[in-house]
Amino acid sequence: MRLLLLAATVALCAPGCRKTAGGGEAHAVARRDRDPLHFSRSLGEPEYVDPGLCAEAEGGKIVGDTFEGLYIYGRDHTEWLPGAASGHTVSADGLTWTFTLRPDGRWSDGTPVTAHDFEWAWKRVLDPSTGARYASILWFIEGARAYNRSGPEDRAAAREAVQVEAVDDLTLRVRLVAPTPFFLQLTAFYTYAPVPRHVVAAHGDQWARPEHVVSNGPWVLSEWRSGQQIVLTRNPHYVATPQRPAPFDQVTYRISQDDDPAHRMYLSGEVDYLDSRVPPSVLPRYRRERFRELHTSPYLGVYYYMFNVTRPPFDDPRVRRALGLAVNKLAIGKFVIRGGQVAANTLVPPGLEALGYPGVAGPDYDPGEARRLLAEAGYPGGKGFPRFRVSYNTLEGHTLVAQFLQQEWRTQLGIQCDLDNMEWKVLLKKQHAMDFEVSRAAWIGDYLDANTFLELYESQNPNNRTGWANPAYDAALAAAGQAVDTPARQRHLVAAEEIFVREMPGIPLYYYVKHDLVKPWVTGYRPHLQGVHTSRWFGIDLSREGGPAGRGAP
Amino acid sequence: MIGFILRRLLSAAAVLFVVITASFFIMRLAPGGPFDQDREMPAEVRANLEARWHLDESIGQQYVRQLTLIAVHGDFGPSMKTPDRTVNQILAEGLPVSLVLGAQALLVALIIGLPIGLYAGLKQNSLGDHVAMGAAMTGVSIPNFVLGPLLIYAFALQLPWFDSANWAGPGAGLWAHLRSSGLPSLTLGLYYAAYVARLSRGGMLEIVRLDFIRTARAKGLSERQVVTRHALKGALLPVVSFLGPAFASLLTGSVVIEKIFNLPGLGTHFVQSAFNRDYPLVLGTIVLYSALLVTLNLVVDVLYTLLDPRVTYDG
Repeated sequence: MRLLLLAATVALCAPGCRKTAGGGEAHAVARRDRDPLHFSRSLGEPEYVDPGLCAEAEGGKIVGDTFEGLYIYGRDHTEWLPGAASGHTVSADGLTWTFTLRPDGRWSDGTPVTAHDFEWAWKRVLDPSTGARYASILWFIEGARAYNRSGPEDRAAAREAVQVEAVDDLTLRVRLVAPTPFFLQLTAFYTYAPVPRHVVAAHGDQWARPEHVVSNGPWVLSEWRSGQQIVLTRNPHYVATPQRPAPFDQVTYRISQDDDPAHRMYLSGEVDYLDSRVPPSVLPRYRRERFRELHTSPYLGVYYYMFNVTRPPFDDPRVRRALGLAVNKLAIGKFVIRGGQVAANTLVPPGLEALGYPGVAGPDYDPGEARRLLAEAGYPGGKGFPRFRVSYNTLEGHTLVAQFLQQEWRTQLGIQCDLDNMEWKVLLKKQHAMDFEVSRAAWIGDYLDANTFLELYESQNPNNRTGWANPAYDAALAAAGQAVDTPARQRHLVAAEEIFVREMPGIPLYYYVKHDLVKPWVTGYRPHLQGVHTSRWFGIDLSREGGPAGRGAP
Repeated sequence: MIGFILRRLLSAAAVLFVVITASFFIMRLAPGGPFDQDREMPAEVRANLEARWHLDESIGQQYVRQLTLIAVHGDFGPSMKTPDRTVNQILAEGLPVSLVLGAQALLVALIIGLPIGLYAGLKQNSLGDHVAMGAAMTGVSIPNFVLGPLLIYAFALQLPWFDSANWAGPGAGLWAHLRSSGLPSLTLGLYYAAYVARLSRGGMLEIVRLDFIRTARAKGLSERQVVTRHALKGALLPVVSFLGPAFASLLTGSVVIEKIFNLPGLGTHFVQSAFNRDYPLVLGTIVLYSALLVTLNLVVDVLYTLLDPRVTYDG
């Protein structure tokens, strides 16, 4: 398979291949479709387009275009705009949030969208029998966690205790466990979208299929040919406003599992926008020759290696720090996987400064200090350090990173490790059973707040599969959770991250970046830290086709 | 003949039973389950999911349940990954794509392979024979994951004649269908064309040396009559016996082609369902592929009796 991918990428090397003797492009690719009201973009095969069950980005894109939460994602990650709600108020203690719904909100079958739809949808997600994998993102609501974890006997009472209530048709009142400054953005997240109770009741599991689905966003799912395409058409009852535009008659998502076919669709002009599936092998060419189409932007995700701190020698923070300091992380994005990834010294990715999180300066590459720490821990020059195992799931990029670390540790610290690659599900099994020493891991933030990363290492967090528990860290996070005042809250979060950096229960390696290709005739594209690019913010301007930008820079 | 077919169908049922049983237990041996994911879910939610899919029952109970479902209802149940779609629906969407692709590739193989092979067989050791067989050797040696991207580069990107990552389907009109399926069919078919050429050449070489051909020539029949009326049928036998397994391997072997050309066939599900531990879908694809294989072998055996009068299955 590796050979296959290699052959495929080499042969399809791409844009610059079409050079004429004069050095200019032989022909600029024209848009296949002359209709400026039809937007075509790329997608991987989604699992669910049911907002409550959706648990991955691809399905989330479809939900984002077809359903409208109380608030919606703006043009970039610094704004959230009223969607199904026209506004909201928050009580002084930051706990009670009251949303007022737009009176003209309609489902695509003409039924009014009411606060009851939201209440019902959120309780549906929390109902353990729904089996919603993202239910925990609703746990900020009072009583949500208890209902989500209730057994059959206390379920009815737990449902009543969930503090979300439709006061009347247009007023939704929510009471939160703790002041949650980022709650507004959560209401834009797909799990918080309303679902049409009357349609779910009529069609059960099948309600979100194109033949049944009814939604309240600008578009409705009208066709889903698995592995081929998803077509969205206008919701005839959607009342667009300048703050909630619906600029297209049709949005087509062309599905492909792999980067190469997706990129070919972009090359041939079949899609206007290639959403993050740019094959790494073509990046240099775009950077050189068509840099106006390539947008590389930071993405809210961190790639790291975690330690099983219950096993010596990884129970010693000096050892963990030494292993982290010995790795030249800059080289990973530049020379190892070469996707322009940003070197990571801390857990929380950059970009949250705009929202008030100042961040922490983590330790830089320092092999001398690493050797000193290792010696201090009793392994001078790596002598006596037990040979250990690095576990990761089989994928070209993961292998390259693992080999790089293996080499850095051997040359800088004189310690040896074995690389152990395995299928994804096998790795998960091992992580859950704490049957590893060092393992690859990654985390993508759910919302724009440092908490979504820092809570990973909370001692009670089920995703903390390292055995690391630190009371001061837990206390800092708890204090942040109770703080109403934003600067005080950020100070607690910074305190937690400083503990992380000192203790290094994991080695952050790089922050993700997202590569997008956007045709010159597409307007409205702005980078988004969470990679949320709702179709409503785009536009097609055919006069820009074949213009200077169309032919690429040189 | 009827008796033979009935007997074969019975043994086919036994084969499928073994396949179901073996795959059911083997796939449960793989570590991890359908609901393992990076983001841990609450134990209560997991328990509910597992109860819904009867994963909380003993493996024996699950086996009996699955077997009954398949045998009595012809149903594999919903996919665990996407419960709003049943395995039958997923297979019904993917199978026509794989079948049409396989059939077109076979057609390519026959249209290109047969004339070359027969010609080479009739003109043994001529320059034409060497050129044709050289080309066939090259065809066998080029893997389709090399040929596919090369064809895409030439005929979809440089010359925009074909689609490179699309499947319009026969319903979209002949032209649109050929535009989207041309390159994958050619890529998949060329390898088999080379095989067909070599087999038909061999068949022809063997037949033209036999006595009844000499007799036909001695009767004064023209060379054309000798070839078309007498030699051709016999020369095709090795090709026919190759067709059944070839078609089966075209279906299963199209996994790579489906990946390169982004086709929504069965191949993707076959591979992906195993990684996802989507037990019903794994079982569904395996059983479907086995059933196709068994059926195709039966068809070939029946065809044999039509081509070679010496072959009978009675008694």
